[in-house]
Amino acid sequence: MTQENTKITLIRGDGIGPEISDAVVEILLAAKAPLTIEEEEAGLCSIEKYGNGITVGCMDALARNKVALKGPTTTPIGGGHKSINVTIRKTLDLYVNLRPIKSIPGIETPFKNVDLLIVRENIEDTYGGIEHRQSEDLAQCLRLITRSGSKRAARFAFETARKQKRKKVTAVHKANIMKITDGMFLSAFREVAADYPDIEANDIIVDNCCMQLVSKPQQFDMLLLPNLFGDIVSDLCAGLIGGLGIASGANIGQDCAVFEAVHGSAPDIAGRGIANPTAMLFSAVSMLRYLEMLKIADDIEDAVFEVLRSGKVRTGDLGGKATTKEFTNAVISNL
Amino acid sequence: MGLGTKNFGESVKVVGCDIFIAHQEGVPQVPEHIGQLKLVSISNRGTKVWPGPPPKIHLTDVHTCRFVSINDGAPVESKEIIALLGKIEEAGFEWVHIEKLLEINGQAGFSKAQGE
Repeated sequence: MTQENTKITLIRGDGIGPEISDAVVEILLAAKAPLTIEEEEAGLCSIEKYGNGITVGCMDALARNKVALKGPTTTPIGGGHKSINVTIRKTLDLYVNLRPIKSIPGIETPFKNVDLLIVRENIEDTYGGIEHRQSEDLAQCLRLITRSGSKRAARFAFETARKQKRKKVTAVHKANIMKITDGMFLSAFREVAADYPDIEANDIIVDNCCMQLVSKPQQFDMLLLPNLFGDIVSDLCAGLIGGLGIASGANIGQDCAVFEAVHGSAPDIAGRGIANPTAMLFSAVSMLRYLEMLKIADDIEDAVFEVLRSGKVRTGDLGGKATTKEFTNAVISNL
Repeated sequence: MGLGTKNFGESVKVVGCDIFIAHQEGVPQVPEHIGQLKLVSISNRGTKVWPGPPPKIHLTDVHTCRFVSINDGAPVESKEIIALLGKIEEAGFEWVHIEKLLEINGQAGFSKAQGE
């Protein structure tokens, strides 16, 4: 019996995006992932061609295919262009950002056996981008937290905890100072937690959480955070396992999901064939799991682990001299 | 310049206002023209939900209605905004918050909603 291919959208992105996307697609094909890939453009390349970082056609494709793999995109500073990532998240209502943080064999860091999952609320907080000057001297950014938005992020966290057989969800907040907004986030978390008596629920102030993370990260299983804290803490946690070059991310909503490397487009090394595709590859692995292509996801992940564990083929950011192509070939040979 | 603006420096011009309206079901059907002001957008948690196709996003129960002068770029006086609030209440809506839209040295001192 032949399995029908699942159609996904691929956005190759800017800078190193196209070369790491090519590497990931090559590995997906070698692993025989039953995917049909529809390519769309977004980012600087789209601005240069169409005057817009993301076109209506691209947004339509993302909504139609419902699952996308995305390389890093560049948002020019100034010029009034909105971030492509924020545009996609808000337009498709991708209300959580999921960041797995797991120690990788062969990647030396000060911490061993880190395995935590970060769930970041992805729409609200200061990322509503609602800013006003109130005078010549004073500018403000509105920080919006809703009970409904907090509850659906919390419910996603607890449902994911059950699926992944995780034991504890920790809400991270600053409710001692922001008593109304983070107080609402925390009370929504506690309300949802009551529906999951099988999963431990606790909370921690964000500054203490950061200190604990860089002291003993193994004590955490899952973290749930409002948007801004989540943005900062998730990059801090990427550092615990070796940096942004190996950290994957997923933006998930009710109907759609976009999987992306969390690093930037690294224009300084673009086109030189030396970029590390691991982060985007792990994002693709998360995508395969989301699509329930579990065996292929495990195969690719194991192959990447084996290459990294052996230490023979590593890109420059991990202390090696391998090219993107050599790394890709090494992963394929381990499939 | 109108009431209130005398306390700003010379570089400041009020060009409109964002009125935050509590509304439970869908996007509020706020009047598009009130006096010398016109409604240019409605957003929800920073994402534009009007004009344009109906949004496929989770809506919270407060919507931001952006009004500017019908004469593009013209200054808006505080008394016009106060009258606008009265008309919005008369139309059956509950406003909960307001921000003036300032232009300072010719630059917009306010962000656009996602999609605006």
